[in-house]
Amino acid sequence: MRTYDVGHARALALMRRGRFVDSYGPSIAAGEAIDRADRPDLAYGCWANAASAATAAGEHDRALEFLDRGMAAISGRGLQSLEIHLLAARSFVLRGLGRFQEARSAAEAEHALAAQLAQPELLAMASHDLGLIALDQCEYERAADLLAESLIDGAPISRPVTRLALAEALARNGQPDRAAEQLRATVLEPVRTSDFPAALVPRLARVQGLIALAHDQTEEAERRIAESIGGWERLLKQTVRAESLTTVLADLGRPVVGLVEPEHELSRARADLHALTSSTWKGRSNAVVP
Amino acid sequence: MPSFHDTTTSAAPPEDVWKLLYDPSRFPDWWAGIETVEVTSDGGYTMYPDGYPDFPMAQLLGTHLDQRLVTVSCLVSDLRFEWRLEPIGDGTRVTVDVEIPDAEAHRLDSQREIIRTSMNQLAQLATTGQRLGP
Repeated sequence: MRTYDVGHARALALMRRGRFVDSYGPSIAAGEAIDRADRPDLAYGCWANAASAATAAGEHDRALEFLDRGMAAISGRGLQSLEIHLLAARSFVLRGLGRFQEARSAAEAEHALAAQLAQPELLAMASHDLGLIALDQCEYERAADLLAESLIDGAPISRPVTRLALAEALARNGQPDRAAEQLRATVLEPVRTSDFPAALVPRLARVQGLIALAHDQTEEAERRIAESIGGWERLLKQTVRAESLTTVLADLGRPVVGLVEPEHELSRARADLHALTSSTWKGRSNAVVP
Repeated sequence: MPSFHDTTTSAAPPEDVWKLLYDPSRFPDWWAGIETVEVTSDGGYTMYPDGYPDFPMAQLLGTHLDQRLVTVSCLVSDLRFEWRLEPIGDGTRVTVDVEIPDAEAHRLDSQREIIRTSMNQLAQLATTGQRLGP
């Protein structure tokens, strides 16, 4: 137990300092030690945190390895309520890698498990994850339905971020007025620290741009998306100065899934602007960077 | 403890006021007396007052799950600002409650003035995207 205690605490401390790769070793030591002590419930936390660190470090394949080890530690031990979180994390990481079919399979398994557990909050979480994949894959109507379903009280998701994703799905689906309603609801949502308020600002500006675009207000759309790009650039600069890119954006309460990836978000906003200003802009609001 | 309340209305929708309020790096654009801001962590930032580039003032921006408000706390002087936004027609009502510790009571009048100016600048910036003129 001592190896576990020390390793786990050390890994968390290193993650807090943004030394994500350095945290793998202590997490592995803790995970293996607690596995030998036959405590799969505690092993889950070690592997989930290791996967979170690897995702934050941009080593998505390594994150999948850690998630596999976590799943091996808990499967068949009656810990479905933890298995479901590993499936959610797996789906998140696979989305980051652009492996959408596998991400969807993981989220569908998550959904099936949630149905088996008959817990509405977990079903909502699975709908949320499936909704984000649908959004990535330009299935806007399906994304909007799933994301709307996920907004129930107590669901372990970020409500403001989910509303913004829902607004994006609606805007891209040609329903800018409904999207604007979601935008308004977003700013009236209570915001938690783990929602990373500073990261909500450029997300919101980007969705404002998509709504303007759906209204054929091209100049306004460009202005809003440029504002979003400026926000992400500023956030990247600030977080780099604060020791590490993602130090302040890794939510240890929600390993992997709570992570904000400013570089990825910046790429998406830049791609939106590029698509908007490019002469080949035909599909218009369908241009998506996964 | 000395305290005061102030309110204003912006023609801008809540979304545009919200973006300025939740992003400390934009505070110098509207909060009177703030020259620069360095964000140190999510919610934590250091403010440098106008004309005092060598006087770092650590601040904390907090949110509350049960209430729709943003608090800004000065970790040096213990001043506390609670901001709230509320849709009103097409615009936004902005309210602020300020608490000043007894040791800083002499700053009550100057803070009233700073906050009044800041609220006007916030309302203007959210509406037009441009700061009020000098």
